[in-house]
Amino acid sequence: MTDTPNSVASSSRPSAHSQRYDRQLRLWASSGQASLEKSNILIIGANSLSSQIIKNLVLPGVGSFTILDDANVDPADMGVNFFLQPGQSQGRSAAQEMASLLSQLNENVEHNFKIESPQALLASKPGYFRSFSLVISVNQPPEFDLALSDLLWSIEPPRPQVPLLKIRSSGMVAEMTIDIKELGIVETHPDSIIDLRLTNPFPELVAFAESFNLATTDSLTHSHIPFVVILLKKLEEWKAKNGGSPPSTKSREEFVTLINSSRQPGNLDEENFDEAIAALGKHVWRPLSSDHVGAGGVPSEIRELFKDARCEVLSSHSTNFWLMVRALRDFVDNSPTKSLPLTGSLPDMKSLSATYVGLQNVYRNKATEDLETFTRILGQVCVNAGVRGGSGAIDEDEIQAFVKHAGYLKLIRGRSERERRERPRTDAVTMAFLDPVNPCTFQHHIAFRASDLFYLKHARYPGSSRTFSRNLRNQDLDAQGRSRGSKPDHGADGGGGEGEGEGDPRKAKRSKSNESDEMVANGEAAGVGAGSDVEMAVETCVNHEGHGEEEEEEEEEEKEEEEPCFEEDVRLLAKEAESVIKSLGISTDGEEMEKIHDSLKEMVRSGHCSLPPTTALMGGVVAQEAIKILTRQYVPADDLVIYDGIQQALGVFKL
Amino acid sequence: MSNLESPPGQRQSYAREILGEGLFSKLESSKVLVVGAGGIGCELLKNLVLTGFGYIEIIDLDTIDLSNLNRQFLFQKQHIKKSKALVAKETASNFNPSVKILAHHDNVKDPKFGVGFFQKFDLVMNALDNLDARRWVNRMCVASNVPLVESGTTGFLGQVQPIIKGLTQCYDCTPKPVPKTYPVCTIRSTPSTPIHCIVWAKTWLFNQLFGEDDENEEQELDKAVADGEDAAEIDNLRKEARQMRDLRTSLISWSNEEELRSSAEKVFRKVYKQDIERLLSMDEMWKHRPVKPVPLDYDNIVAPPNPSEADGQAASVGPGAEEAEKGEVGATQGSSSGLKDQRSLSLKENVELFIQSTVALAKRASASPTEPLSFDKDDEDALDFVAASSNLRSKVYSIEEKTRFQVKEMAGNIIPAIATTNAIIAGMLVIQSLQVLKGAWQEARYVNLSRGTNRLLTSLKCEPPSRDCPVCQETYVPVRLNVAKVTLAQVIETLKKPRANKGGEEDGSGGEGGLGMDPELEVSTYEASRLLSDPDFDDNLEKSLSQIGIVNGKVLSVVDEDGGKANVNLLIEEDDAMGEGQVGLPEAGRLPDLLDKAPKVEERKEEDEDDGFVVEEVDKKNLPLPPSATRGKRKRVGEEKGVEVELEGKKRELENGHEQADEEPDQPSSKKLKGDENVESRQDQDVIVLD
Ligand SMILES: [Zn+2]
Repeated sequence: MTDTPNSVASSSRPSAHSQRYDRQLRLWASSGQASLEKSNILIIGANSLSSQIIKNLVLPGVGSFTILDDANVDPADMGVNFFLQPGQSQGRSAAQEMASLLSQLNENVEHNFKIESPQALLASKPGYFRSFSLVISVNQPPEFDLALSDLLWSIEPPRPQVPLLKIRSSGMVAEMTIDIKELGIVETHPDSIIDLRLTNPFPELVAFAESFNLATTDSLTHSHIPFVVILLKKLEEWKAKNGGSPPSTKSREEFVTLINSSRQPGNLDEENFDEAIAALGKHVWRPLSSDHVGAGGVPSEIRELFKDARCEVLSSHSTNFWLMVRALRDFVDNSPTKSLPLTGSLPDMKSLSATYVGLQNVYRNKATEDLETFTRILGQVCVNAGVRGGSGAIDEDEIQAFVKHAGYLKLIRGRSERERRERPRTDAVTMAFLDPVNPCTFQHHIAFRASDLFYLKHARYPGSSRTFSRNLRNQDLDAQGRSRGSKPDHGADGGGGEGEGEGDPRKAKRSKSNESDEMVANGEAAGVGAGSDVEMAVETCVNHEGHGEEEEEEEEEEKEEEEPCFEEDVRLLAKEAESVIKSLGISTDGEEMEKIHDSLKEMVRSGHCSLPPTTALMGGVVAQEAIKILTRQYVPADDLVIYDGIQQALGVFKL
Repeated sequence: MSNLESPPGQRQSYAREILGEGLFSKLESSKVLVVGAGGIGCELLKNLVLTGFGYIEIIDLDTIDLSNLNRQFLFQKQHIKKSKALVAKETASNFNPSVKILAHHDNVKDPKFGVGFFQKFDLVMNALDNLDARRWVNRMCVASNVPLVESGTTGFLGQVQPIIKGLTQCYDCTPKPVPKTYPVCTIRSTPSTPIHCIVWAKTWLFNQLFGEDDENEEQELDKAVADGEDAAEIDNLRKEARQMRDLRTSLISWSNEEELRSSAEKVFRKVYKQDIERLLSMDEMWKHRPVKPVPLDYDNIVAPPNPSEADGQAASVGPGAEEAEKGEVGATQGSSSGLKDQRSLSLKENVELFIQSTVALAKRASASPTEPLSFDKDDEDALDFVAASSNLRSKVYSIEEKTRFQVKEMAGNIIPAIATTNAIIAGMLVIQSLQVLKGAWQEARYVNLSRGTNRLLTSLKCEPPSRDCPVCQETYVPVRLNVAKVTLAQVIETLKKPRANKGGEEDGSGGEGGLGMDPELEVSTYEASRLLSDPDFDDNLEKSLSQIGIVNGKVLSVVDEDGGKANVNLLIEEDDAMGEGQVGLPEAGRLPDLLDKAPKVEERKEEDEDDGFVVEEVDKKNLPLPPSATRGKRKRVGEEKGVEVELEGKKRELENGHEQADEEPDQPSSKKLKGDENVESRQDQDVIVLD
């Protein structure tokens, strides 16, 4: 290679950094990547699901992650958690083990772990949780999640808010609720940001169109009149004939005929006219029927922003988003046509190069002018709001991106966990059961809520014994646990051997694994068809008794626990579900009840175990939404996502 | 380490409990094949190991690249340039040594992976990145009657499709779009968009100077004249080609750096000055083209008499500008991005980059003259060359220039790819695989992942096979024979023998029985698209199969001339123990039925899609397709060079997001993004045909 230090090649080639991220830079560009790299994320709960989530955040290169959990590695988790090292991780702090193995995926990501009980930490140092850009709580107890949600929700500007993702999983189903207090998204990635202003042209565009003659006899010239010009002229012509009104919905065909009447007979090369007709829907009919939306008109969603209190009342704490929304409102107010700033984008079209460049300049110059005006107004807005530095306080690129996307802004204003619980949107619930396209998944949310109530009452999850639940939820607060947790390395390289069975409840022998071994031994397997077959599952799960002979040691521990009985747990869970059903306003005599009951049975059957395809898929879903929130690009789900691996569906609800 | 791990049975205890013992023990005992160890493949392998699959084979031809590491998590920096399949196996085994994993660093199309290979699996999972390999595996699975779960991702989109022969649609039941093609003159003489210039740089100039000798060039040009293209223009192109060969020679046989640089300059002078000047001299050509090209003067650019003029206002504007601003590509972030490959180069810089990259490539070409270079988007020199030479050409034709980052995307057909989408799709792949292994076909779903925030996943019941599918509606018969000792005529003869009685032969051989094909039937035979015989062409009939290139792993297709019967595809398995003229068909009970062909369906009307943004990434390599897929166009042995096979059904309606690309195609391929505007440059593909 000829790379001398000052060669053009070396100065124009991407760095190793951008090469690594090449395939994702094409989705969220360097601005999104920069936001991602600035983020620091807290993940509560060191388990197989959280390891999948973290993997998907480390790979694209978040700034840093911290795993918070005081539990040691659960042997039963060993087989389903890819980021534990068999033969090495046993008996050690799960948070530490996972952090170190996950960090190997990307050296650019800073990794941390904190071996403390999340509940204790929340009580003693709430400020800790507020220092992250995003918190993801994975399979934590309901009362902890609620307290955490309350805490993060109470953050007020100028402190940056901290979105919270709460994840639950059990066997083949999982859910995620997203607490976003407020998220203003500029780069929503609409399919197109082209705005041609045909129905609402600015003077320079009108003048440009006037320089063309549709009646020219020169066939070359005629077949190269840009479609934009054809439409502008034809709209003028129509208005002249119809007392100044544009074509109505009824006269659409007539207008098409009017366009076609200007085709040159015998000229076969008239793609420009085809383009004109193809562009009607988007650039003429839609704007005409919606107050020029798509042609500078302000969409209703943006109008809502203009009326928002945060737009009305600005302060030095106002976010850039709101400062710019306010500037946008002022811009529109000042615009003679009450239009948004022009994006300046122009699609390809049949035309002569010189004409195209000319047309492009008309749009670009206007866009530049609008951007300047906007920036000036923004400066004033900033000054009035008391923002130091005026418009200079906001990055030029950010202003540019905002202006380009002014018609496509999106504001997410979510609800807190408390609001969802105390004032659920019952209409959304009704709709959730009526999805005509996809299988309904909402019943699982009810089942998760019911198992939370079950847990509060019985100190274990349905279908699962007490130790197991404690282990899963890691909510044992005894002092011993914490002190042990803070010195996680006592097992060192000796592996699991000496670390185990010392009475640490989180060491967790119970369990699932023993039972299933039992099932094999007894030959009373569920047989083919489990998974989606609840009836079959009933038989399987009733068999939770008896122990293998070589499991004596564990049997001692297990005897202290009441073994869950499938049918009994279903009954108890159904009881808890009643209040949830009532609070959500679900009618108790429809098909809904059947779905809910099936889901409750599935919840008991799977006993809050994690199944690798579920954790893998959910790990992708959670990280994807986290990335959208962190990059402030694309539109994240709002606010409840439910995955159902039995019906193979994923529903999104706004509860 | 292994002595410390959890006892078997406990490791997957959760899965065992949730899935049920019956299904779980099936996973442990089943054999599955994973094709592809890329983004989806890595995720999938992890999932399979965690879920409790006991025996996995994985095939991948690729080696690991830095740009894989943002998602292919089984690989790390120290693995770059190593085999994906082998490293993936190593990493996954490390996690659970009790799973048996067999890795093949190999092409799945290699003859050794014939029907015999596929038949040993209970399930095949595709985690591929190109159309060609997908089609191949689909066909092998249909032929071997092994269920397949197909998958793919593009950016935030993805899909999973379970394929079970006879019960669901196969991959080819729905037509796949073919690559966009360009008239040769557009590429060679009258480009009007950036992609035209990129195609020129990548497929023409690069190959002329460093690539494989293009023996087809002359024939292509002959055909262009025959097809009525401007004869004078074509003649010019011929002359150009001869001069290019001389330049290539001088580039490769250099003796010192200075000489090499001056050869590179000669190339510049030729393609950006002399050739353009000659084009300009053809008045006819510019009569109807108001914008004429402007030749570039090397000396003026490098040492301008008036510097401010020569280094000019770099980027000229023109059609295609919109695309750069589309959010989807998100490439241009203006001033602050600061990424080196996202800045526009000045004319002078482009010239320098052209010279530097030409020199670099020439050095490599001369180091091993027998191995021609081929364009690879991850080859920095090659990409420099294509970026510089296409932008210089854009300059000549007043076409908008592209940054290196953009050129890479367009020339390399780069598909955005992220870890999250692959994780979701690989999770769903396992779910579908479980349904298939359970035998719960009716529960299996065609699953689509979209970007919408209301419905992320859509799952649809699998459609029954299309009656007119050129792949799954044909007959497949494995045959054992000694390819050196059996002639084509003998094979056909055997097929036309009556079938042996069912249950007649106990030894598993077909005995004297045939396939029961109508002896009166007039047939032609093919190997892929290569015609071997037809009723008027019998030269090959008395040759042995090995003489006509039918060897182990090949598929010999027997086509009914009248079109009444579906094609019979013979899957050749070499068996040296077989004697002269012996053709071993499966035992009578396992002999497939001969099928009738579905009535021919009218080609669907071309329609434009109006939602979503990605349709399909198409791999142009290895087109043409087998005769069953191309249907009709025939060529004789030795005749196929230089003629593009026309594909039926050029572009058909596609469901939104139904067909997508995958993460990262690694062979030359093309993709199509769709938007609701005329984003033609995004739809443009890079295959040149003569029209
Ligand atoms: Zn088919």
